[in-house]
Parts: sequence; structure tokens; C-alpha cells
Amino acid sequence: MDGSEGHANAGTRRAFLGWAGATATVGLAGCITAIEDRIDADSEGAQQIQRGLEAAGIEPPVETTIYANAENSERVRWTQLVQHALNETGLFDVGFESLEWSQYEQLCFNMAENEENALVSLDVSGGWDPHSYVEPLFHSANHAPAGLNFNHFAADGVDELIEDGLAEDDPDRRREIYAELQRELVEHVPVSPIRFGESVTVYRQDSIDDWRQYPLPGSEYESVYAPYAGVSTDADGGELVGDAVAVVSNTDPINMHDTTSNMATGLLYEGLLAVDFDGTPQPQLAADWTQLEETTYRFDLREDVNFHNGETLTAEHVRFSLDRYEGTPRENDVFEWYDHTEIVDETTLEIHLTEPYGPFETSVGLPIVPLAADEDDGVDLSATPVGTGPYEFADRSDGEYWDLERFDDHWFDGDDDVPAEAPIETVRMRIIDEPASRQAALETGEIDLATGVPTESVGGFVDDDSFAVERTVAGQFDFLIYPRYLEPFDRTEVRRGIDRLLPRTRILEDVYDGYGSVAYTTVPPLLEAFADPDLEDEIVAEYFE
Amino acid sequence: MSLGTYALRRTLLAVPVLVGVSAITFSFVHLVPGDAIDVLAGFQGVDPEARDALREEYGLDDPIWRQYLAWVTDVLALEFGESPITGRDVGATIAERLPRTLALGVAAWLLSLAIGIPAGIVAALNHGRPADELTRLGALAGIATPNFWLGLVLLFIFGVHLGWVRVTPPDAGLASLEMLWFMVLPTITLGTASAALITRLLRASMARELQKAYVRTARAKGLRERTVVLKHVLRNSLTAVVTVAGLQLAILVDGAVVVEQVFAWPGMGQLVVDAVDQRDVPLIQASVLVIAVAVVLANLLVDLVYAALDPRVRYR
Repeated sequence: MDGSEGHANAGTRRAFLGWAGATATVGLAGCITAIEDRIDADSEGAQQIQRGLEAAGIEPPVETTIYANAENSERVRWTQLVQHALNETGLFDVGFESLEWSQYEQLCFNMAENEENALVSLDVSGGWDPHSYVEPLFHSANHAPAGLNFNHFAADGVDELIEDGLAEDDPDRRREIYAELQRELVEHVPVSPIRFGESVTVYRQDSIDDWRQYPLPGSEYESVYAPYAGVSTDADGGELVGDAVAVVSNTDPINMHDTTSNMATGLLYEGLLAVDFDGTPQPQLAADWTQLEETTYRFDLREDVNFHNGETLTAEHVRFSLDRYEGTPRENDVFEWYDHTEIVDETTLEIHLTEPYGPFETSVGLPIVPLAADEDDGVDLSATPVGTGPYEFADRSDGEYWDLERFDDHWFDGDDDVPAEAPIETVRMRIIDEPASRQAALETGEIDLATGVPTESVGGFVDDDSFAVERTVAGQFDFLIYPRYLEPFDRTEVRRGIDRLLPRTRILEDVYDGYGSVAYTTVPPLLEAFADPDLEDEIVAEYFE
Repeated sequence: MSLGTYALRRTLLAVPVLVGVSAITFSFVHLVPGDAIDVLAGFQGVDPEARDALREEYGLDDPIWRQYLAWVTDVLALEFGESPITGRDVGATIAERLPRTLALGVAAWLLSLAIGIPAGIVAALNHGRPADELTRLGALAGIATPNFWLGLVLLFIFGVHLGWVRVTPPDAGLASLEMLWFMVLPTITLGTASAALITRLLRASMARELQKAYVRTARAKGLRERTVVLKHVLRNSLTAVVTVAGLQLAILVDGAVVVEQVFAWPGMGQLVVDAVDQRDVPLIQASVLVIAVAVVLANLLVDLVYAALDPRVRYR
């Protein structure tokens, strides 16, 4: 499974689970080194666990199993480090098991219902708003299998804060709410965050001028040409060939459910607003916008914007594009906040919300599509997408490549940072599942850039002058899920004790080669407005030192 | 019974097999929790009313047997339906992938025969001598080598270091020279284990055959060794190989997921894996049907070749 989101042009409600993100290869994978620093059985964490076990009347060692999915070698390695750390205390007898993704998925989604005695490891990615990380994982309305709250965590205080954060549109007040929410979550320890991830792009210096990486998955190719963010790139011969790590599944926004389809259409669709590389909403198809009331926003559209099929953008297109989510699997993305669009005139519209919505400006940039998508003999967006973006769909071969070519009728007139015409003429995303093959294709020059190189292989490219490595903090974290429906994991002090014993620094250094940072909370540092380093320090001082 | 009637009867008998296979797949797929709507919604909750409407739209609210009957009816009209996940025509998706899988599968199969049969003969004729030991060692290594590892090693040596071949498929037709050249490594990767298996089988059955009295008689008659081996012994030894080679052909058609991944080859294997992950029922069903047809055809072929090799086989 691979949900979507975090797109520069799309909403940020959704979180999605990562799985094979960085698979290593036989022979290239590193090994876990012997652990020299033994964990002290008298440590504060171990004592906490001990107290919890005594209170529950359980004689150690507690038997359990920690799981990872086999495709993700980095995850396999970090769970083994956790297994080792827990067994070192003598309080646990933890076994390790790796499963294929589809079996693993079943385990995760049904762990609470089946009361599995399992510690489960995952990673989650979200968007530019903290809501996209906390709501799916911790709100009691999202218990698995219908949501991502895998261990059926429920706390009234947490639910309330999540809802308050969503409904609040004052930025300062939102910051306070999310800070309080972080404290609450650390207090309850439903899961343990382990590491915040980084996104890495490796590219050939001789073929690409300068590449700025968009931090969220699904928007890897924004750097090609993003006038809204003042970013554009040139490539040798005007042709860019990059990688895609999976097939392009469905490119109709109302059915789009995977990051690859999001990525494949990033240059093709545009929204009213787009979130730039630093997380600030910028006008895209809207020339300007204002908040009229708590639940009403007015947008003035750019004039003379053409779709790839020749239609000219009007307010009606916006209404159509938002309304058509109704009754689709992705309805909640939009109708969680959207009520209706009122057309003022051809290029002016008002969007009315059902209630005040904090992440509105990072959510409203949904793809605007042509009216022909509604006609039986019109365009089929699921296979051949049409938008207003600087590139249009050119060709595809299922499982092999996805081609775009420059749209010469794009509305942008150029400014000091970005030329009126995109320098790159054609973009090909070549679908390569296997990370080692991606690396090989990059080395032989068959692709100019790779977005999915495993962190352990990046070092080799850093040392090679022919390649450039672009890294940014990402909206992603690894975490460990406790079976908190089972004794003794139902006890907060047992979970907190384990939380304290987790070898985060070691995982960061040994498994991820130092890429990323250790995580104690669930708001990635990418979200600068919400990730308060002081709060993180405070939490570390209170619970971990 | 003539060969033709026999073939026809076997073909008709395959129909219940195909029905059974598809019915079993159908029920298995429905045992897996979650459906296409969950996948499209990213497992993040769908409004119950919208879910009901969608289930109705996709026909997911019907009893399984009715869904199955509807599917069978469509398939009889060669309509494989539309994938709820990708929104694309399932028949067209498979038509895009199948030729690639067939090309690679058949090439690997031919390679495995081209290496396996001569190597098996050489080993059997030199029983116990260095040539035999060497072949056995090679066959053992061939079977024991994971094709994943072999593929990557070949890719790095011949693709990255020597630069003789591309590491991703060229932008060229399936029958073009460029593409055939590219297919060399994946073919070797996919065909090695089968070649090794055939070598071992043929060596064993031929060694047994060489002990038999008719061989001594043939040699005593003064027949040339070449005739003895190729005309008499080989023919009698091949029955075991034919069974395995036939099944290997079927296995190669279902796509080799690993080899496809390593060489970015857009075949059936990866398609099926993705379809299962995404609960794409129409695509899973159609793919399984195609694979089942391949297995049935391969079996039929094996039986016919048997008859040709050994006239004692009577059709009953």
C-alpha cells in the first residue's frame, strides 16, 4: 500500500506509509556490528519496565516478537537493534521476524483486532501540516483497519487537541495546540518515534545544472520548473531522464492513491495555490486570495491560462474540480473542509468551508482539471492526464516509462528567477523498482538523476565529483508501535521504559549513515513553524535523561 | 484415438481446470481484508454512505458467487473489465506486458535447453570423469545461485564496469537488435537455474539408459557411437526432461518478478505483485487466468511431445 500526498499542488491531509523506500541489495547491505555498550539493567528505563511488570504481576522475561517487512533492509536492521536492546535488559525475550509486504500489511492493520503480541515498525510521511501526521495515527476515529491508528489508541484529550488544531486558523494558537498535543502524546507513549528522515536526490553534474529537492514525497520533480517557488533547472540537451520507483497507477486526482502518480503529474497539474520548497503557500492559478470570513476565501484567477486540451481556465473549472471529489474514495480529502464554490464572475470565486480549517492554505492547491473530464468522449484523466501545468503528457509504457513534454502555451511570463519558457524540453521518468539497478543506471548515465538511492549507497556518490547529492529534511519518521491492548504493554510505564531504551542514535548512525535526525516527537523538523527545538529538548530532559 | 482427437480432448478437459483455478483465486482474493476502495482511499477512512455507493458502483456488494459469475460471463466475451485501481482496461494492460514476458521467458527457456541438453549428454558420456565432475559442479552452482544475485552481478560487471550492455531496456522495438542485445543478461539470469536442472536430470536419466542391454546390443552391432547416443539413448532419456522442461516453460511465462525488477523489465511478474498489493481483483483474475492457460498449454505440449518421443504411449 502506498497512500499519497504531500504534493506541492495537493492537500496535506493524508499520511501514507512507506515500505520499500530504501531497500538494499544482497551483497551490498551492511551488517549490524556487535554491540559493545551493554545496556545497564539498572538504567532508569529498565527500572521503569521492572516496576510496570511488578505492578502487573508478570515475571520477566516477557516474550514478544518484533516485526519488519523484508523489502526494507534498513527497517529490518533497526528493528534488530531494538530487539537486541530489549533483550539486553533481561526483562524481555524478543524474537525477530520479517514478513513480505502484503503479509506485513495484514499484520499491521489487524494487530489490535487479533490482539497480536507484536512490536511493529513502520514509517509514515505527511505533508506541510502537523495534522497530516497526528490525525491518522492517533485519533480514535481512525482505528485500523479503517485507518492508520494500528494499536487502537484512544485518549479524549488527544482527540480534542487534534480536532482543535484542525479547526483553528490562528497560526500562533495552532502552534500552542500542537505543542500541547506533542506533550500529551509523549505522556501516553502510544508509539515511539525513532528517526526523522531525509530526502536525498543524486544527480549527474554533467547533465543537470542545479537541482533543488522538494522535501515531500510525490513532488520530486518540482525542481524542473516551479515558477511559484522561483525554481527552475536546466539539463544537458534539454532532456531529463530520472527515475520513478514504482509504476504510475492512476493519474486522475479523484482516484490518485500513490506517490508515484503524484510525482508523475506534479509538473502537469496546477492548483489555486502551491506550497513552495520552504512550506509557504504561494499563488499558482490564483493571482491573489483573501480570507473574507472565517469560512470564506475569495480567489482571483489568473487570466489567459490554457489547459493542454485548449480549454481556458475559468472559475467554473475550479468548482468542477473540487465538486467532483464527492462520492469518490478520496472524498474526505476535500469534503472534510469544503462546502461549495460560489462563482462571482468568470475569474473570481469564493470557496466556502463547512467550518474553520487550519490547514486550508496548504490543502486547497488540488489539481484543477478541464471540463472535458466530465464528458464521456472527453479526456480520461486516469490514463492521460490534462492540466494547466508547464508540461503535458506525452507518452507512457506501463511499467517502463512516463514521458512529459514542455507545454508551450503555459501562462507564466517569466521573472528574474525563472525564465518564461521551461529550459528542459522533455522529461522521462524511467520506472526502476530495484534500488541497485537505479544506482547502476545512474552510474552508466542512462538516467540523469535518482530520487530513490538507499542512504547506505549515497556515500559513494558524495565522494565522486561527477555526481552531486542534494539532501533535505523530509516530512517522514520511523516509529515503533506497541501492542498496547496486551499486558504488560498496556502499562504506560512499561512503554515509557522501552521508549527510553531505544538505541536511537545508534540506529541513526549505523543504519542510516547519519542521514536524518533522532525523533522523540511526531512533528518532523521540516515543519519549522511547529517543530519547536526547545520543546524537543524539554521532552528529552523530562523523559529521557 | 488419433493425435488430433487426443489434443482436442485434452484441450476441453482444460476448461474445468481453468474454471477451478479462477474460482479459487477469486475466493482467495476476497478473503484478504480491505478492498479496492480502501486502497484508493489510502486506508484512511471513507464515509460509510460513499463507501456503500462505491461498493455498488464496483459491484463489490454482490455475493461472491454472483461477482464470479459476472466475471466469467465477461471473460467468455473476452472482456476483462476495467481496473478499479488504475481505471484502465485490464485486457490492454496485460496485452502490453505479456509479449515482454513471453519474449524473455521463451528466450530463457531456449537457452536452458541449449545449455542443459549438451551439458547433460557430455556429463553422462563421461560418467565419473573430470568433464562429468565439472558439469555437475556447474549445475550445482547454477541451481544454488539466487537469480537476484546473479542478475545484479552480471549487471554490474557487463553493464556498469565494462559498459557492454545497457542496464535498463533501450527505447526500441521488442524485435530490434538493440533490444535483443539488451535481453542477453536477463535471459542468462532467468535461464541459468533451468539449464542446471535440465543438465542434472538428463545426466541422471541418460546414465541409467546407457547401462541398458539395448545399448550394448547396438554397440555390438557396430553402430557408430554418435548414432547410439543421439538416436537411441538420448531419445529414451528425454522423457524425464520433457516433463520438467514443459513445466519450466509454464513457470517462465508467469514472469520472473526478481529478474524483471533487476533489469527494469516491464513483464507480468511485477504486474501481478502490484495487483495483489492493490487488491486489484479484475487484474489479478485476468493475470492468473493467463498464467493458468500457459500452464495448461505447456502440459498439453508435454503430452504431445511424449507421444512423439515414445510411440508406446497410447492415448486413452
